[in-house]
Amino acid sequence: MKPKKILIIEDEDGLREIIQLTLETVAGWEVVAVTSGSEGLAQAKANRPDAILLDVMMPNMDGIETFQRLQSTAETQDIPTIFLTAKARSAEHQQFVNLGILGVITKPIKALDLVQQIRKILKWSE
Amino acid sequence: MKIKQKIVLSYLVISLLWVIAGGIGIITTEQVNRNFEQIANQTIPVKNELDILENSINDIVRCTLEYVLLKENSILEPANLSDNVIDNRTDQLAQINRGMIKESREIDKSKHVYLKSIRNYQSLVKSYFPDENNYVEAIQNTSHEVIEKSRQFILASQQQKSRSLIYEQQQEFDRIRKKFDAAIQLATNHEHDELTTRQAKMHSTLQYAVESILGVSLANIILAIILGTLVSFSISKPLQKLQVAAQAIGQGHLGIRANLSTKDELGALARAFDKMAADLQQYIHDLQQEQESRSLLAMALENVGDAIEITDAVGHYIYVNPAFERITGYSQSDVLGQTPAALLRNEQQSTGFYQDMAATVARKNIWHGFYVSKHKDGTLYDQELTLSPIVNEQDQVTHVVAVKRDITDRKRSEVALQKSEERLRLVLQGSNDGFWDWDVATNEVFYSSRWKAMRGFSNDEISSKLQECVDRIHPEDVNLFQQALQAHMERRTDTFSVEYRSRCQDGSYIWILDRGQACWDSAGNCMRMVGSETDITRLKTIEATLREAERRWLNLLDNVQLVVVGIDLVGRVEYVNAFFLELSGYRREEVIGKNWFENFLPQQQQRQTQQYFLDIQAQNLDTYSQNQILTKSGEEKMIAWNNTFLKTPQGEIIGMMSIGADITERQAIERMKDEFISVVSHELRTPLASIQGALSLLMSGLLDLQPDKVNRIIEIASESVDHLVIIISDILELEKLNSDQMRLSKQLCNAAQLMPKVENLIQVNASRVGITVAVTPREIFFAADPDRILQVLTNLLSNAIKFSEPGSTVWLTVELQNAGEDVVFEVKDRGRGIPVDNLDRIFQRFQQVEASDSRQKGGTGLGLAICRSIVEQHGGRIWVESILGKGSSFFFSLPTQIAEDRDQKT
Repeated sequence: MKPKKILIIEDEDGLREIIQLTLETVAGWEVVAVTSGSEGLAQAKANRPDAILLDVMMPNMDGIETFQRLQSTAETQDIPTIFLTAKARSAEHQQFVNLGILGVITKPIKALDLVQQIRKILKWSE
Repeated sequence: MKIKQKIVLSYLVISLLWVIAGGIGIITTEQVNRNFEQIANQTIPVKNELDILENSINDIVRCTLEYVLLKENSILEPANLSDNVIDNRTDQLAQINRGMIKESREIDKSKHVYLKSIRNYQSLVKSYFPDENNYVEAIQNTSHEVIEKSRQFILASQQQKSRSLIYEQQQEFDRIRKKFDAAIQLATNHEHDELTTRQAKMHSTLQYAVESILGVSLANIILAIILGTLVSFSISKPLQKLQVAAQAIGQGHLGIRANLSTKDELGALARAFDKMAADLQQYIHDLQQEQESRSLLAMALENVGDAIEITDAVGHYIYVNPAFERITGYSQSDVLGQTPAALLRNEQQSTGFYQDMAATVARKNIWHGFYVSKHKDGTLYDQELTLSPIVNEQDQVTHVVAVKRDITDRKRSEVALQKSEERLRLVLQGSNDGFWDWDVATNEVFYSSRWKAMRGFSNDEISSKLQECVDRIHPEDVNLFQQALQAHMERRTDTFSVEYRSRCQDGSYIWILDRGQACWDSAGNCMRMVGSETDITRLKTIEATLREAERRWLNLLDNVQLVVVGIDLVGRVEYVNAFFLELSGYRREEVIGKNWFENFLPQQQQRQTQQYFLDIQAQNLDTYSQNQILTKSGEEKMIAWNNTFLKTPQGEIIGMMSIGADITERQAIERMKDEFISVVSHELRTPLASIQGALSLLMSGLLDLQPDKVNRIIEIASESVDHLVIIISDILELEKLNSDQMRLSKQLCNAAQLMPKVENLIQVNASRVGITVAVTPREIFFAADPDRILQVLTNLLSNAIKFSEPGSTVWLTVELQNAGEDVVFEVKDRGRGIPVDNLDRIFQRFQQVEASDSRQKGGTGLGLAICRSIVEQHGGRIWVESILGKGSSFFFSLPTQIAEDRDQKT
């Protein structure tokens, strides 16, 4: 079976590396990682990933704007997207859900939990 | 002058004038006739003579011509004559000679006539026309010439043999004859002219006569008209006046008179007429008065409210008025011929009563009394009756006039009045009010026992004087009482009503509500006043308590640091407190009465908030709400409201009172706090996420066979731990600075000593990245915590090195500014610079020019915030000037306080 392809958009270099390694090692997914929203948009259009893991607080184009652009682009609007954020308050999560995001994962998170939560949100089997 | 005389005189004058006109006409006609006859007599002989003269000349001429013709015929041309002709010629000649002789005689005869005629003519002309001789002479000369020529012509014809010569003589003769004809024509013309002139004169005379006659006639006519008019006017005017007066009197204007003063018959007639009119007027006036009197009497009888009946001597009705019908139910036709006893008698009334009534009248006395009568429908009614007998000259009662009054209503009113008085007495007793009745004229006042008891007096302890009331009024209320009393007595108020304090027997005061009503006479003078008093002491106490409570409440509302707004049901502002005015910047008069929603809310919230107000009003809910209000300067303030509906005692909503807190600043702080927490959370959670992710990945054992990846993960985790440690340290330090937990250890510092120290501290880092640090120390003294200033300088220089390209230089300088009161340090680099909109922001916590700087350049985004905190704690200021792409200069100033500190040092 062809492995799932996931796009990671995260500006923090170390964290991005850890997540990429986690998803590749633990879940066996094919991972593409970029550092900014604009790069993420281009990659999403070019590679059509099965899901996007998107950081919220990023310079220039933050996660919210990136998500809205993904939604307004025909090629990317159907790609399931999950926010990975340090914002932990429920009001903030509700705000994200109102935007139409599929799911929210709060930092920090253990490697195995991260994979498990992604699967749960995306309803992917192991 | 009498009318007849006037007319006769007028006729005489007119006749005289006509006689004059006729005389002038006759005289003039006579004169003209004479002139005509004279002219005729003179003209005819002259004309006759002139005709004779002309005929005689004509005869001479004719005979001459005949003679010449005969002579001419007698001439025979020898060459042409034959023998026969000569024979015949002899006869002819004889005949011609005879003719010639005859003609000659004719000529002579005519000459004779002529001579006679010319003489007559001359004499006639001389006598009739003495001034006209020229043409007479001309006639005479020409006629002589004609005669002379006739003679010459005949002579020539006798001598001449030639026809042509005779012909010439004939022509000459014709010319002379024409001359004579012209003279005759001239004479004729002269005569004609003369005659024409004389005829014209006669015509003129005749015309003058005619015109004179016409003029006199015209004058006569005009005069006749004037005289006629005057006469007719003098006759018709009085008649007209009489006619007008008569018409006016006929139309009822009896005061009109002819008023003629003339002495003639019309004047006498007018005076008689005026007298008759005056008599008529007086008569009619008397008649009218009598009629009015009768009419008034009849009307009085018809309209009087009392029933009036007249009975004859035997007691039969002969008259009843409409009131009788109304009171008794019987019409006039019902009663005529009947007796009162038969119709109205009430069997319940005693017989003696009626007998007494009849006996009184029979004695010719008036009977007056009350009794119960019977109505036509059988009901009984109370009646007041007066019977008045009418007595004739023989002292006999001829009629009886009865006047009846239905007093049922009066009886009923008396009963009602009794009840009303009883009711009033009970009301006064029940209401516990005092009662007073003031007779203004006598100044006597009736005070009820309750009035006295209210003041602690018994019935006999208060006199009936007005002063009993007035003297007990509290001194502060006397004026008020007197003004109210005066106003009502002068009818300026409908009722007398005043509240005042009245002194009681024990010296205490009670509050009185005094109300009354005055009665005035027809002249407007107050005659009486009646009123009642209520003890309102308890109400006044409650009112004072309420007023005090309201005062306290309003005082509280005006001093509380909350917005208080009261609006009515349509949203009009009825109340705002002082804090609202302070917050909004409006004056009270700019707010009261205005629509709250339309004037004091941002436009985008007006409809929604008003609808909310209507909704909670409909549901009768007191609620909490939040909305922005608009201040006078246009600033928006967020208010958290507590809304309460104002209701009547019956529960009807009459408005809403809202008390609100200004949460604008609190909201901003909340927002900032949220943002800060969010940033801190991110800054802390991000390295933690790396650490936790790395550790959990290592712990999973999935990378046991990949040592390179394990090392990399450990390295990432280690960097994240370092970063986290720095962040936490900076946060703690910043918190310490902001919470004043860290005490500054201020001492006199010398910049010349501090600056080399900081140079030494950062020199290693600078050298590692190839940056030159140029420090220019100066000996400037200032009071500061040297360790903290070193921390600031180190931080600024580290940043400068961090953002400078290798090989470049950063500078540290110092100088005095503001007349030596401030020491200013400058750290300058030639790095990438800072965008203008970031210049202020970078001194806030977790704010960096680029978010990636914390990763690429290290740092937490808290360094500059710590610097600002340290500088501000020293009473200084920190700022940056930068040109994008060319570098930045960070400055901070500190107060020197040199003198004081030097003194301390010394």
